[in-house]
Amino acid sequence: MDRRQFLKTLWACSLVSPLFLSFKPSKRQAYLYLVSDSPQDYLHLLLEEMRKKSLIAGSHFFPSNAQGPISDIKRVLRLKNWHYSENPGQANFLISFRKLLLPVNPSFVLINQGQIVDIRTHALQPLWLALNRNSNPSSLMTIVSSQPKKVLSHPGNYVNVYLDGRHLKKLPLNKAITEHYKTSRGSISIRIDNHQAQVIRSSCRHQICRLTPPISLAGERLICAPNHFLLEVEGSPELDTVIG
Amino acid sequence: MARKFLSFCLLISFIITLSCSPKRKWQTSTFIYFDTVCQLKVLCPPADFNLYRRQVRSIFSEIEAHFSPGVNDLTSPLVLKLFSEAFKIYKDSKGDFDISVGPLSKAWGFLDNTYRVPSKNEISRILPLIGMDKIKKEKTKLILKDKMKLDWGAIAKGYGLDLAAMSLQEKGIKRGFINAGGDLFCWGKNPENSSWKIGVKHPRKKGYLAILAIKDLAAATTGDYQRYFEINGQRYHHVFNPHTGYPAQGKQSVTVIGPQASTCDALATALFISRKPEIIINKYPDFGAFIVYSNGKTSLLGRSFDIRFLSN
Repeated sequence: MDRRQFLKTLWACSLVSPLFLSFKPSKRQAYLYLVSDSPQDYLHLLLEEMRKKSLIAGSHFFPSNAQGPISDIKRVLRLKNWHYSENPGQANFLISFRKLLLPVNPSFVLINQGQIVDIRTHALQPLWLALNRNSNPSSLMTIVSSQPKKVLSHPGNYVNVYLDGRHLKKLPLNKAITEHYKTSRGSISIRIDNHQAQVIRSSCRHQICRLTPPISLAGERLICAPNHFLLEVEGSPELDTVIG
Repeated sequence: MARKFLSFCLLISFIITLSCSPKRKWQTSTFIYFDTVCQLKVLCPPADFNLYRRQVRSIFSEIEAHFSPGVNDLTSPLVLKLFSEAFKIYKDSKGDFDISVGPLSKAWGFLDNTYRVPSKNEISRILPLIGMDKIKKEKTKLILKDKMKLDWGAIAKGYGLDLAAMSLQEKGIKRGFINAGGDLFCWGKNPENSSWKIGVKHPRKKGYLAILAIKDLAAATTGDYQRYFEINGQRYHHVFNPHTGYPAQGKQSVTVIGPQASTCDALATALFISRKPEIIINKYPDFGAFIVYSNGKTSLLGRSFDIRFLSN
C-alpha cells in the first residue's frame, strides 16, 4: 500500500471512527501514525528515525492511554534505550492508541508541522516491505506525538471581579491597586501587585481565600464562597474553562 | 403557474423567517451553588438567556434542597432515583464509593467546618454505621439504621449538572457548558467551532496539569486539595475511605471523563479511594480517567480521550 492509499484508508476510517474524528493534530507537533496490531515490533525503528530527523528530542515517553499493548511497548523500548517517564509533563513524546472500527492494512505515516514527511529511508525499507507483506488487516492505530514545547500556563493581563454572580469590574494586573468590597455577608479586600492578585483581608470564618496563593495565570480563580466572591484572571483563548 | 407562484411565496416566507429569527450570541453567567462557583455558558438569543439561567438556578436549588448535608430527605423520587444510581457504583466499586459516610464527614468536622481528628475509638464506633447495603430501599422511601447519615457530596453535584444540561438541551440549546467547580458538562462545539478546551488544575502546583479537548461529555475531578485542613503538618482531606474511616491515601487527584456527570462525579471518588482503580473503570467502558498519585506519578485508565498533559 502506498502513502496515498494509506491516507485514503485513514480518511475512510475516520468517517466511521468518531474517536479518530475528534483527534485533530496540532500544527505545532510531529505525529507518527502506525497501523499495526503489534506496534511493539516496529515502533523502536520508527522512533529512531524520528530522532535522527530531530522530530523528537530526548528519549522519555509516556503512554497517554491504555488501549494498546503498553507493557510490551515499555519492555521493547526499554531494551532500545527509550525511557518510560512517570510524569507526562516531563516526557519528550506521548504514545496513544486508537481502536479503528474497521481493520485496515498495516502501514505508517509521519506528519510534521501539518506536512507529510517521507521517512521511508534506506534503513526503514525492510520495515516498509515487512508491513506491506503482512496483509493481515489490523485495527489498532498507534500515535506518537511530540510534546508541545510551549507551556500553556501563561500570565493573564486582567482579573475579573464577581460578587454574587455579577461581574463588578475588570482590573488590569499591571497596575498596583488595593480594593475593598462590601458583600452581603461581610467584606473582602484584594490587592493587585507585581502582576498578581490576592485576597488580603476577608470577613469569612476560615480564611481559605486569604490563604490561597496569589493568582496570575490565565484562567486561574480565587474564590471566597462565604462572601460569594470570585476573582478570575481573564481566560486564555486556548481554554474555555477550568475544573479541579 | 399557480404552483410556481406558490413555490415563490414559500421561498420568500422561508427567507423572511430566517432573517427574523433572533441572532444567537454566547452568553455567560456565574453563580454560587454547592459551596462553589458555577459557570454557565451557552449560545442562545440574548433575550432568552435570563430564562435559561433561571432554569439552571432552579434545578441547582432543587438539588441543594434535597441533597445538602443538613437535609434528611429519604422519600422524594429524586432521592430514590439517585440512591439507585449511587448503589450501582457502590456495588461496582466493592464499597469504595459509599454515600453513607455522613457520620464520618460529621465526626471530622467537614459538615459544619469544625475540623478535628476523631480518636481511633470514635472511628471504630462509627464504622458499623457505614455501608449502603445496610440501607433498605422501599418503593417510596429509604430506611436508614439509627444514627446512619447520608452524604451526597460525591454524586449530587454531577446529577444536578446532568439535569441542568439535559433541560437546556431539551429547550434547544445546542452548544454550551455548565461548570460547577470540579464538575463539568459540555455539549456541542465551543466558540471556535472546536471541542471545548478544559484546563484541569494541577493538584499541587500553580497552573494546569492537563488540557482536555472534549464535547458532549462530562468531566469531574476529586482531589485531596479541594477541602482539607492541616494539623501538625498532616493534611486531612474530605474524601473518606469507608473501610477505614480515615481520608483515603495514595492519590492527589482523579479526573474522570464520560457521558454522565453524576457517574463521573461518583467514579472520581471511587477511583480516588480504590486500591485497584483499573478494575472499577473497566466496568464503565464509556468512561476514562487519569490519576495523579501521591508521589506525583500520573496514569491513564479506561477509555481514551484527547488529553494534553502540560510540562510544569
